[in-house]
Amino acid sequence: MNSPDGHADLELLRRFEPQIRFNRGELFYPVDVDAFLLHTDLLLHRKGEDSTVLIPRPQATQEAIAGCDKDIHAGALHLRLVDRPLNTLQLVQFHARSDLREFRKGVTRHARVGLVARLLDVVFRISLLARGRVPGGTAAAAAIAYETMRETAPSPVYYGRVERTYDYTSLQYWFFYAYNDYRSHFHGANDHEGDWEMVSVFLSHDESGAPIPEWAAFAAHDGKGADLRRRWDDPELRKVGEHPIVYAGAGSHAAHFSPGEYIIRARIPLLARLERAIATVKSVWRTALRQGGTSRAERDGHLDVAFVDYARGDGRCIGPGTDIPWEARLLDEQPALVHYPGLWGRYLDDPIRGEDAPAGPRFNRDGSVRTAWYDPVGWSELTAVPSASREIPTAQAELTRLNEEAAALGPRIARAEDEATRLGVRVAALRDGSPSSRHLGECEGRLAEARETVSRLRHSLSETELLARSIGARVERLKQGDRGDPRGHLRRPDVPQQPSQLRLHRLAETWSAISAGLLLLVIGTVAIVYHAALLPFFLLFAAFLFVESLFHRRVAALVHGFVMTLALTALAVLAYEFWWQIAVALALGLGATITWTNLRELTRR
Amino acid sequence: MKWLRPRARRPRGVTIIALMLLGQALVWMATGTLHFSELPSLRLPATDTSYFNLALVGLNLVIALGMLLLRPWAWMAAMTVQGISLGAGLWAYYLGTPDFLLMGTSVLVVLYLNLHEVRRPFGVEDLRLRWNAGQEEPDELP
Repeated sequence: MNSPDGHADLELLRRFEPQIRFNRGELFYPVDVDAFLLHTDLLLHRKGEDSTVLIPRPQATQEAIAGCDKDIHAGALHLRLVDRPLNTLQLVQFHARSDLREFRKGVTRHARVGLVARLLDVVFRISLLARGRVPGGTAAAAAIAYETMRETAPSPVYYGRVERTYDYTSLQYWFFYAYNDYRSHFHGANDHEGDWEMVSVFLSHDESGAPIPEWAAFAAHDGKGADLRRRWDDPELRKVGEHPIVYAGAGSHAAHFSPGEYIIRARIPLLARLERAIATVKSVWRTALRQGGTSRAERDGHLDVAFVDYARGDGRCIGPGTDIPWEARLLDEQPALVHYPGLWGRYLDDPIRGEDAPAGPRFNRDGSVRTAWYDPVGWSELTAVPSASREIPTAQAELTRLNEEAAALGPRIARAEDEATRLGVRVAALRDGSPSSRHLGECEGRLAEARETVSRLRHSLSETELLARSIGARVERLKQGDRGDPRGHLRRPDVPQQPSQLRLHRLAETWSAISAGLLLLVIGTVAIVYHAALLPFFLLFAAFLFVESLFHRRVAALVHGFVMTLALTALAVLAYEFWWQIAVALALGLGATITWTNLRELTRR
Repeated sequence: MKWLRPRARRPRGVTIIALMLLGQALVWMATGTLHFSELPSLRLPATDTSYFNLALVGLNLVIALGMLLLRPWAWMAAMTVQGISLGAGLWAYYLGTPDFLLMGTSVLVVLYLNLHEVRRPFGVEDLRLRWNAGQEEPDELP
């Protein structure tokens, strides 16, 4: 339910618009889509064919692409910003003068993760050769094109949308970046043309109708759910007046609440089955066999590649409180943002979609409508969370309903008990001397049912009373202004990594940079020299793991893992050598236990 | 003598393992001495694992005491010693001179010490928290 008053919506959006703090070295900032479209062609990609240009630049305006009548199912409809990437010489010239020189990567991503993640990283890089991939030099060419766009549209732009639901007014701020250069310039997971990011603010209203900010939700890496939102009084949500502060990831533009460096883990779909198998084995190990692991916080069998999202906020700042203000536009007045179902950049038919451009604010890549568009409140799991102004009335109404339910249960229980007593009298009389055993059986059946009904109703009453007491206590707390833990809804929020987790930073970085490759090289050399000898491989791998654990402060975990591996190997050897004796011992043990238990039961009687 | 008091109620199995370690140390001491005895009539044939065993005697005694007092380092040391013992046992098996009794005992000790209810009184349920306090990876916190 949208407000017909666009001016009021724009004012509301203006009042809570965010400030975005970028990382040093960032090349792309939120841009006017009209300026972007002047530099793009609209193409249609049919499976197995080259893309064909439907509307060449500069005719690909918002109206033109929104009115493009090509069926999305005929192929992939997409824009193209860069048609000729920079060559090597141009790239060298670009890097010599670009803002990228200001970027400092700090501790490398390899030094932050374990050996397995680094070996998987090799697999990920090889997969880029097989998958569709944005050609090298595209990011730099896009950066040059972006500079040209800024000449015609210098102000950074956001596209705002106001959605009113039963309890909340949701303000969505959509930011469009000409390019995501996360992989090529910031050692990240992917590159793609066009990049849409979104920040939401959820408002409620007081009795006079004045807006009260309740929650802010920041989209990051296609995520959704409760972990994306923070309550307005959560200290992690930093603000300038009524404006939330967003820390944007370098190149990825993902929005974060705190400044810092975030570890982003990309799953490898091919390894999903192996992950599930590892998780099952770990579960049996921990629960059925009651065996301990290394750490309670360790994740179950995740095999993923790690990247660092740099969101230090030490670069350019845009928005309220800075010298670069936003230019605000209403999203609903932008035809391409509402109606164009295609992608906002190059389409490469990447099977895991990372290198394909995203679709607009309304659509997913497959043409379906985004959850954040049709259900902005549900997107961040706010549907069942009443706003502050409605929290007490809602809880009180529920309390009244429960008390009424409990009151209604009283007479029902009395009736059921009366029925059970009457049937009890009948059964007792029939047992004393019944002419019909069939009648007795029928009465006993009805008595059992009546007893069951009484028990069920009493259980229900007990549960209702307990729930009513909890809600009553909550109402009292709410009346005293205690809304509970502002972070109680968070399950696995993103937290910036602590640099202190590494020992001997420089040395660790050097080791991390060379170890995965070195391990493979040395294994190859050892294989040539020692052929199939097992011990040198074993010792070599153990030495690598030891150095690795020293840097990551995991020597205890390594020793534990090592001992458990040896124990399981020895167990396998023993099972192989003595399977017959073990089977006999198990049979004898089982027989003795059963006999002993049964005899004890017999003698106790 | 506060330091001689156990940290918590000691599981019976831990007492048995501590006594076993003491017994093992005594046996190793005796057999180790006999391997190197000057008197040929008393000298036993040295196996590949007996040199390891002799080196572990002193360590076993200290660990046994730590186990009785439920010290976290004793749990880690006991696991390490059993690991070394298992490594030696597997190596001997690879060379064709297996010591299955040693391997079997070590496997049982390791799997018992690794049970949740045994790790709890030692305070080693979470190895990373115990030995790297405050060094949890933030992105892995629940």
